[in-house]
Amino acid sequence: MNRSSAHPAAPAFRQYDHNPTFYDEMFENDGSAREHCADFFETIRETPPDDLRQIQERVTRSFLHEGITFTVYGDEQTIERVFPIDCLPRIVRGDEWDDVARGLEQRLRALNLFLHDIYHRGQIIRDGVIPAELVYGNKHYRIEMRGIEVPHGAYVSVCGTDLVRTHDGFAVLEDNLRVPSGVSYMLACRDAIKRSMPRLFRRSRVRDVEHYSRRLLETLRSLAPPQVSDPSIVLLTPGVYNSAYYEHAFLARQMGIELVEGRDLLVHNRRVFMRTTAGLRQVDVIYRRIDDDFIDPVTFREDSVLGVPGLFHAYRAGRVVIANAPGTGVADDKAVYAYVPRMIQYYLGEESLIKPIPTNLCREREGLSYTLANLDKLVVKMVGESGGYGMLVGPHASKTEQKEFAAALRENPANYISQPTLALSRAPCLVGAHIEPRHVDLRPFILQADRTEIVPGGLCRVALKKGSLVVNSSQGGGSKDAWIVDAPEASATDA
Amino acid sequence: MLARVADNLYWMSRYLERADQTIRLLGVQVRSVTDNTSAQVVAGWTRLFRSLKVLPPGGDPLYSGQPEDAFLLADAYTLADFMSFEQDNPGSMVSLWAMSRENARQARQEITQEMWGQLNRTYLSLRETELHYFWNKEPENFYKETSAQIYLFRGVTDNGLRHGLAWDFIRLGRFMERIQVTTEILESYRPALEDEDTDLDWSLLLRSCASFEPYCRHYTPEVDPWKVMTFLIHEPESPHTLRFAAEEIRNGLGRIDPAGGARHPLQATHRIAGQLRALLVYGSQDREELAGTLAEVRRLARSLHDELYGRYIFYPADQALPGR
Repeated sequence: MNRSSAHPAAPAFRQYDHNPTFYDEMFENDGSAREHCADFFETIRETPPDDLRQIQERVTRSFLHEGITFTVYGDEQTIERVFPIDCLPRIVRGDEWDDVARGLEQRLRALNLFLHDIYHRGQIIRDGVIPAELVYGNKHYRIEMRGIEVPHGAYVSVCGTDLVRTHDGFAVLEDNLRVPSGVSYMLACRDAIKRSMPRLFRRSRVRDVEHYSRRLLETLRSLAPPQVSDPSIVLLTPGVYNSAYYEHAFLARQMGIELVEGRDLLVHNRRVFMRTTAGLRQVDVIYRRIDDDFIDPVTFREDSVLGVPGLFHAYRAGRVVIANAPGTGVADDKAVYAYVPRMIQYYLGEESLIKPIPTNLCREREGLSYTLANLDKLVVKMVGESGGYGMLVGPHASKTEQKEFAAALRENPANYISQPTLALSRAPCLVGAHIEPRHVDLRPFILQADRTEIVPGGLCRVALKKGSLVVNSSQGGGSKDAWIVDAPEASATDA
Repeated sequence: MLARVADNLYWMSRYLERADQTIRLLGVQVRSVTDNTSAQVVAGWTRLFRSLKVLPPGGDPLYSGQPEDAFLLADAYTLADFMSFEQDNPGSMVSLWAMSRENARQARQEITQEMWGQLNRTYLSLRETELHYFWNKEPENFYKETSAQIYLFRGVTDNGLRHGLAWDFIRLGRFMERIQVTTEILESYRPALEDEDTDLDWSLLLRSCASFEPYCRHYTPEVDPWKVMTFLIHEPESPHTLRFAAEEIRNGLGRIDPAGGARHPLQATHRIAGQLRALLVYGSQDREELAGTLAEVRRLARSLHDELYGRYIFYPADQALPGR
């Protein structure tokens, strides 16, 4: 990565497709590098693609060795694979990020107020801002949560919001308010990139993300019952077979807290204990990475073997805190999404700082007829699904697929929403020996308790298949580092 | 520390120690294939399978009445391959390594990044074809290098991990496994002591127990069978003797639970660990008592394992309900 490299200028960008239909994270419409990417672009342009490929291979290998993998079960043997990593970071200007961060904070504040409201008086429903059936009829609404006071009103203390960008700026694609994952990828990616391109990294004035785990621990501490001075905090994982197990172990290690499974915990007299080698020890805060359904077989799904019988009773009694609180899924529902700007207006009296994506609710007559008439232009999503499943990307779908979806829509319209197909921004990615543009999104992580903390950056997901808009790792997506960079100060010429 | 995680660390360490012993025995055995007569090689395989309590492919020749035939039929490399890479053999080096790693994976919050990295990296490389090729060409070198990866893991553990509970359980697992496997190795050589006509090379036993050099320093390179046997049982300063392991186990338990050995009534774990140590420090060193001593070590080690479980891992919850 040395600028005075003896290699001749490499043709890595020769086949780069500059297409002004899409916002390009690195280039202006005329193909010149954006100002905040100029130095990076020059450096990469002078780097032989072979060097880049080696970086990519090293990063991939280090992920494999660290066990940042998912498992593929084959006939002969199980294979562990690394989620594809692209070594070229996505670069975002600091001032743009600051606007986004303000918008994210505002949004989560409103969502937490909304959750408090719907588990208490339901004023927003009484005032007719959001239809009752969207809330009370939602499968993620937990009647058991009614009347419970959560510390600082933070139902959601850890949030991962998926952002996309178009020529019009950033927009929220969806909120992940239950058990958002991916933050360990952000941290591992950053660590690997720093090792691979130290000089370029230093020169680029990238904002730090490494303090995420400390902030998370502070957030969890601030949730502890007030009478407990030195709270015992644990991370509850479904176990080693969960695809995010690496992340659970990673965060527990970084925070220095116990990583527990349901079988390590027991409830006695509405207090939660963990089994240690020196007997039982009380637990005060549980950062759970298990879905609502599975946390307590007594209260929720009785066939759950991952959970802890009686946990919810201890929670209700205020003897233990669960973060995120049960029942937050109602607020990241795809239909409720359409009402978030109205929530922000209703609770905060403010305009939504981040633009919403116009959403047609198929449960409404106009929404349905508009959707059916424009199936070839819209993205149709199933309410209550995630991970890119149950989705129709109109412009990419065949006539038959559209027909099938239309039938399903008519059958159960309330189950669907539609949105315009966005011209998702693209960022340069290393594909074989060339650099080509691919569609990307960004998932920053927001922590909220007594205050809000947003680490500058996030998990940048990439749709590695050419032309694809689906970034989910289950569907051929990969990830890359996201750099939030500040403008150089006048005198800084640090190389 | 979580009881489940202590269990994982203990087994991570036991499996790795067992892999280490397996690798060493295989290294000694493939060397013997070049050095020794075929009768000696056959006897070597018999001892190896016996010590590790693994049934050789095609059944146990020890009971077939014609051990030589069975082993001559199977090529030495086939047997070594079976003990090294066969995934369907739970006692193969690769299987043991996989089990160790799987336990480590469930105890990630207690071990360091470097420990995990070392264990995982070696595991992944053991499954690569190039390494199998290397094994095929130079088996003894292959075993040496793999053994070095285990030493590296231990170095990383001793120098990177806090010497607290996790470290204690890891060490406990290592020496619990070591005392058991070493006892079996000694037992497999014991009959040869009585055999007047044997041409057995007793340095093989020392090498199998990683004790050739310590023995030479203590005595001389002239290997005397009885001296070898008592050295490996009673010598206090060489890390692969039974006595050394017994001392480590007792000290480890003392660190895990300092009060357990000081009060009346004595905790069962501490009592058994004390008996084990006493046997190896003060017990008889008569030739006639050898079989009895080895049998007693075996019995005590097993019951210590059970007591450890009852005390720290699977204790009944209602007895452990605390005040805060």
